[in-house]
Amino acid sequence: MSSKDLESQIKKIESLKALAFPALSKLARINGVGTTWDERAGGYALQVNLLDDVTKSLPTSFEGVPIVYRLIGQITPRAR
Amino acid sequence: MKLQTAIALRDELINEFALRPTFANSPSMGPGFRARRSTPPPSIALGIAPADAKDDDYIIAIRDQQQDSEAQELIGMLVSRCRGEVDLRKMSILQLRNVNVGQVRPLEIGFSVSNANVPSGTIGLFVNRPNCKERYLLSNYHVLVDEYFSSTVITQPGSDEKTGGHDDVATLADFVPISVGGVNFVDAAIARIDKSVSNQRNILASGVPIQGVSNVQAGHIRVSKNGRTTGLTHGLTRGFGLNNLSVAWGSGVAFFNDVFEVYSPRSDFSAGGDSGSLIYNEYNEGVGLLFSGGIELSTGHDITYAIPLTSVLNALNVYF
Repeated sequence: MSSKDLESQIKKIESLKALAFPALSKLARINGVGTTWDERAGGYALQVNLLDDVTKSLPTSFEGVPIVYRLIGQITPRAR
Repeated sequence: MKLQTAIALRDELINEFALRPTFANSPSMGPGFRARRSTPPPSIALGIAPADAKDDDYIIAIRDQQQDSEAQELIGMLVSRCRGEVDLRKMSILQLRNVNVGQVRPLEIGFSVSNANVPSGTIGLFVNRPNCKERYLLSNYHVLVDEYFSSTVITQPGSDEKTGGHDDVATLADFVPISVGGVNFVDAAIARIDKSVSNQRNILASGVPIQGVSNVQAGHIRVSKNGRTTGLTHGLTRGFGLNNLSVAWGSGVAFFNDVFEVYSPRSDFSAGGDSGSLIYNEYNEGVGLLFSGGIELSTGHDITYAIPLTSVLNALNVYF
């Protein structure tokens, strides 16, 4: 895939993040939506951080873009 | 057992035996990290260990860090639930390494610093402001700002390891307020370095000065940081442009937009006390300011979160 194609993927995902967050928030508790590299698809994907392990009941793509789910625990500031 | 089975069993046991801390907020207290309290779980760690005999065969790793009758009883139940397929070892409570905690003059990036009333973090960079000869140190808001505004004194080393002599090095000068319950783009502040305190240029742990600024717009970028607690570590970027990231903040939650993730496949990229560390790429360009972290529950990996350095420099109108 050319770098132009990859840039275009990133742009598409950037534009979808604001739509994906409210849509997926209806289905699961979400802690962040961003862009990540998807090894299996060999391209960029929407990254959705989940607070609960409910991946199996969630869609695998959004508006044609693959979704990579990450199960992340509570995030805290890293002061001592 | 197969790896996936072992992971599922470990997670099931952690839930069943309540082997992770539960957090509770105290709404009667004001903002600030002191308002958080947690209920400690038994000091028994669970994980996965490869079995000796054959490949693709795993057992449950049990690490007893409590070693009393309560732990013995609980471990008995865990071993029974695992049908004896365990790797059981007794261990002491682990200590963080606390690498860069000493007093250092001239001041250096990567070393302990904090507001006198706030837990320690790390000096990220030395910066300047336009039309101003004074020099400033840059770190996180939650490292340099006392949320009760009772002190503007900045000490090196930070409050957790004061030496008792000539630790005051700077005065809080500017910050971007954190909106608890609202959306934030940076967690950053600067402090004016006292004229009597010298500071090194922005020399990275590799011995090379920082070579400029770059943005993280891809995964798998090799990055490094040098911080108060874990010292020099290396990792890879993963998610970027992350929005709506909720970070536990005192008695509430602060949301952050446009942050990126770093992880290390071998060990933790950061730990408590590394807040404020500069994250830089393999070309020695600054890419981010470390500010928070969590654990990926499916792998047990530390995931570190950082704010793009360009956003921090722009928000505070500083340069280096």
